[in-house]
Amino acid sequence: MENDEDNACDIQTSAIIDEVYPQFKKFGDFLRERGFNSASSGNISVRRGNKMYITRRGSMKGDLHPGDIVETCLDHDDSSIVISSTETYIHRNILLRTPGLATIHCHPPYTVALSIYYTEVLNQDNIVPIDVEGYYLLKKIPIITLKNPTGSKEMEEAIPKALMNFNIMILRGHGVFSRGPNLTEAYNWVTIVEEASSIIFKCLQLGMDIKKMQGQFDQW
Amino acid sequence: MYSVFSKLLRIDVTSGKIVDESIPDAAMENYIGGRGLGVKYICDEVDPTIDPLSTENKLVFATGPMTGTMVPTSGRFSCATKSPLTNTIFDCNSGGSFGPNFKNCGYDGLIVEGKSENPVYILIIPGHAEIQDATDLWGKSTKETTDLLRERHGKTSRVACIGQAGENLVLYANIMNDLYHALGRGGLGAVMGSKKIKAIVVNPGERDEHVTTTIANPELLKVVIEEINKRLNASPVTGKGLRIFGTAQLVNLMNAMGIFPINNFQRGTDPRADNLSGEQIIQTIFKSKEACYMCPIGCGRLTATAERSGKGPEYESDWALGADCGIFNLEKVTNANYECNEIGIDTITAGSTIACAMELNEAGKLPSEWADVIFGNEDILIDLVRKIGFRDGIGNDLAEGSQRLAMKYGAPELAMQVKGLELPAYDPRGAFGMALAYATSNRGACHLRAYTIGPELLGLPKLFDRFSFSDKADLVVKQQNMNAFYDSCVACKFTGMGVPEDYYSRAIQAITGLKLTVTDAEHIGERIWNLERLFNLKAGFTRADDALPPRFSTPLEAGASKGKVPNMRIMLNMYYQAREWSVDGVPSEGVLQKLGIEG
Repeated sequence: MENDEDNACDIQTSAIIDEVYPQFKKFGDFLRERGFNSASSGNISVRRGNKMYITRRGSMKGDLHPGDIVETCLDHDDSSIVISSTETYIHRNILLRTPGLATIHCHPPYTVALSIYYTEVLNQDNIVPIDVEGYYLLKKIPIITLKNPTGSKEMEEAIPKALMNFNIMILRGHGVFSRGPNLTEAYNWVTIVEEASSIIFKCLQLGMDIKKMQGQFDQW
Repeated sequence: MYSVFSKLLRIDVTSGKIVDESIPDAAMENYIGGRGLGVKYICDEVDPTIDPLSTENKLVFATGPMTGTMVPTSGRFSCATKSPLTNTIFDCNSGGSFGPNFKNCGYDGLIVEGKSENPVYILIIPGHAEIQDATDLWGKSTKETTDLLRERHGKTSRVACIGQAGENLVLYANIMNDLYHALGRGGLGAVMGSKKIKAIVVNPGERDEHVTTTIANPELLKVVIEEINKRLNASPVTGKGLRIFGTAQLVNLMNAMGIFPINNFQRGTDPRADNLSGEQIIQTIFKSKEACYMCPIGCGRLTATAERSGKGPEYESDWALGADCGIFNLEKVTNANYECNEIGIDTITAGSTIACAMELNEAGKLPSEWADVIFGNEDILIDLVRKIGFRDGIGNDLAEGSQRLAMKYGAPELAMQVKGLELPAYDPRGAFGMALAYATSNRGACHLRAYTIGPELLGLPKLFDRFSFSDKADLVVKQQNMNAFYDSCVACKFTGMGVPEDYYSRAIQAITGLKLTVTDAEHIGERIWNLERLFNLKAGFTRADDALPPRFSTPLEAGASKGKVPNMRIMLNMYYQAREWSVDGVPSEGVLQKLGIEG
């Protein structure tokens, strides 16, 4: 070690929160404006070294304050998990096990509705976008069906696993988890999926045969 | 594993012994090929403490499962060794068509070891290799050597060779392949010269004579290739900028951002930069585009000045031989670039070392024979390049690189280097991610281990704040890992400017049959990175070597990046945490166990 100053303790939590808070605030506002969350649902996190910064449990994502961002360790539990998001362990596993450095979880309504339709009616465990941008950027979006789709142990394993090869996934009847190198990209995936879902939804309303319009990405 | 032979050639030029060897399945699956395989063999077989120019050093050439396939930008191959310039483990990869032609001889790799008494070259044809006398080639340029050998062995042959700089053990001598493509930066050409090997010739013959491999899942590969091509065409960088302007598209952009280094990084912008820009190249010296094997981008530029013709300059060469030396005459810079290619020296280190000498002279540190070596003196440029290649006069000092030069003359702080490798053309005060990328790179200051210019300046895939500190450690780690994977496929990193990471892991899955997610790909890269780190630690490197020159603790005084300096201590601590390394920069037992590496 060079000298006593060169240790991990000199990384100031407050300095990092100063940098990440404006981003949390911005994307929390966006989620509210788009109607992607109820008052306190959803959660946002970023990785910084061996730490994770995540929204506080029960915080209003459309009205975030610096105190709503909680620092917690990535590689072990600390007392902060008591106040951090209910889905902290899912975020932790996403940030540890996938290429993602930022994660957003929210409940975009068209996507959630289609996740039920695709699994119940079409017997298909993924959505294949039919609009040009959705097709180009996403190819397909996996839908995971779980027995306990809220705050469960199986979510902590299944969701990060689905994100190992995809930037965004859908938990059937619940919402989406997206990842990216930063929150801009993670949020971008949410909006692309919801737009693709809304177009499919409208085409279904027009009576069109969605299955015939899908690209062939079985092996993707 | 599909698309590989799992076979390498081992050639000992001391004894003349040539053997075929199997590559274990575990090595192929854990390290894929290219850089990964080269690093694995160097770590297994080379003592990290040796003199890089001694008999004990080795050169490991390797292709990857992607090499020679239809995947865009898959024409690359790699070479790993211990660098005489940096004393670190060092790999480099190169384009052109040498790589696919080597693979078509039926091998994934070539290990060259020992030291010949007389000049030799290696000839490889399908299923056979031999060592031939190269006495008549010794002393010739890379162009002369390539032309003579292709005349001797036919037009289906491809040549990788050294020029006079490699023979004279210039510490940053290149191995040049297909005339203009370089295994550059760290002195791989000097290692080849120390073994008295002038060239490697591969000749797979006509197409029906090629030794070929099989693809695991052609149907999936077809879909992935289609999608990769769509992305490459649609990206403004790979679909427009690089195709229209070549890599020098960056000159005006970086100058406007205030990170285009002038006069040995004393400034970050200059109104004359446009003289060296991609736009100027198009209007003056440009003749035609040149593309590597299976590359739809075609960033290469065949050019001609009033006196001669050749390829380039690329962005980095344009800057190093130009703006960094205070020279803004495109013709002079281009001629010096041609000379570097023919003598076989790295343009970045050559230019940066000359710039360092110019500042040493400005500071009154150099004796009288250096009197002409001053910023802006364009008339001495090509002569200095020749002197370096032949170690002639002051060229002998310049041939050692900027670190040794500045130390010899009592001002080590004037060498713009990390671990002995000169910084490329982005001032780290204007892109804090690059600052960390330079400091932590396993082969010294380099823009190809992590290229945060993508997210920090070009907005790819999404824009990061270039002056923020807290998000850079993880970004650099991810890029270093993924680039190690690309280097092992072997694919060109320019694809990262247009194609999402998972497309290439899907391509490798289709090609090899390995069930590989993008997360698995990143773990392979992480394994390679940690193995390289362990080699460097054993070679004597410490945390103190993960540092920028002191100049970068003082802000730039003008331009769009003025007034900013990166907090390296905090970013480095966060980087070590993100890598699961100790505060001294040593990989933890936990991370080594996770990656299956013995410490």
